[in-house]
Amino acid sequence: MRARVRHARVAETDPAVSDLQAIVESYERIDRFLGNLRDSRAAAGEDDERDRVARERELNDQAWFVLAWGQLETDIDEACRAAIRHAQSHEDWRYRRAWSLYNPDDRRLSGLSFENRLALVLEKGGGEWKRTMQLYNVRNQIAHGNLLSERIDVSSEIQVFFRIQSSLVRE
Amino acid sequence: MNTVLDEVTSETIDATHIRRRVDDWEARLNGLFAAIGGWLPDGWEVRQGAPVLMHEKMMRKFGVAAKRMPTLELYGGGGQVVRFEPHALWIIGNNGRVDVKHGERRYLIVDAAENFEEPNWQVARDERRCERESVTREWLRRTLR
Repeated sequence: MRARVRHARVAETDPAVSDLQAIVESYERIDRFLGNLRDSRAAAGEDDERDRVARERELNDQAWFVLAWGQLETDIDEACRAAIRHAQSHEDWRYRRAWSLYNPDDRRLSGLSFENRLALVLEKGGGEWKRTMQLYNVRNQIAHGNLLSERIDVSSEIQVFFRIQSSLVRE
Repeated sequence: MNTVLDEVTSETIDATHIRRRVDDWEARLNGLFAAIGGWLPDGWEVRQGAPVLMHEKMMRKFGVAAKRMPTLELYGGGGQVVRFEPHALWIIGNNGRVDVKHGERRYLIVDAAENFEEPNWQVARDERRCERESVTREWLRRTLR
């Protein structure tokens, strides 16, 4: 409850958080509709229809998960740009020389892989970094056509996205 | 493998692990239902509901047989019925979910603990899923009022 209130406040100023909040609310409305539809099919003894709606729910989870992931990835990229700019402004060349290899204004961030972009804003190998990479792999699996056979609690995962966003080190 | 996400992204999972998880899920459900049965206010009675068949895709993938899982029904003196039914174990984001139907109202109970840890049952209204609270005697009594 407390976390939700905090996110609502941040949402007033952060478009990425605001979009995630809108996504979770929209997802929940549609998932509730599908849940009620599944229940009514089950109550009517229409097992094939019940199973079809259950599968539709799984697909719906994955579609919304990928949509939400896009918001998180955009925010990670922005955090990465902020971290590069901050480091490049350091007065000591010995500190900033490695950072000068990256162009924060480049759309592809000088070709940095997602794993390396993430390592610039979260400690590589740390718990949050590992979790984010796992979620990235799930996103890739879905987005590249290999759909999951498990459900995703998109509401819970978006709360994890909020936590990841607040952990990003932007300077 | 501490979470469902670990399991889904693992390449070393096997049928023995899946069977342990299914047995553990059944034990957690029985524990939750026993606790709820013990928290009922006066005027309510508890009955075991018709079991539901669990045969999730993770089980089918590793050749693990289907298993009947318990459900729970609460009956109020005014004719109210509350039904607790396991929804699924393998859901990315939590360690199993139980759906609760109380007339038109729906609640989702999820285990927020890691795999094989002491359960941490959390509940939320279906239309406010992010506003979770612990499953407690107080929650149950408030819900049944």
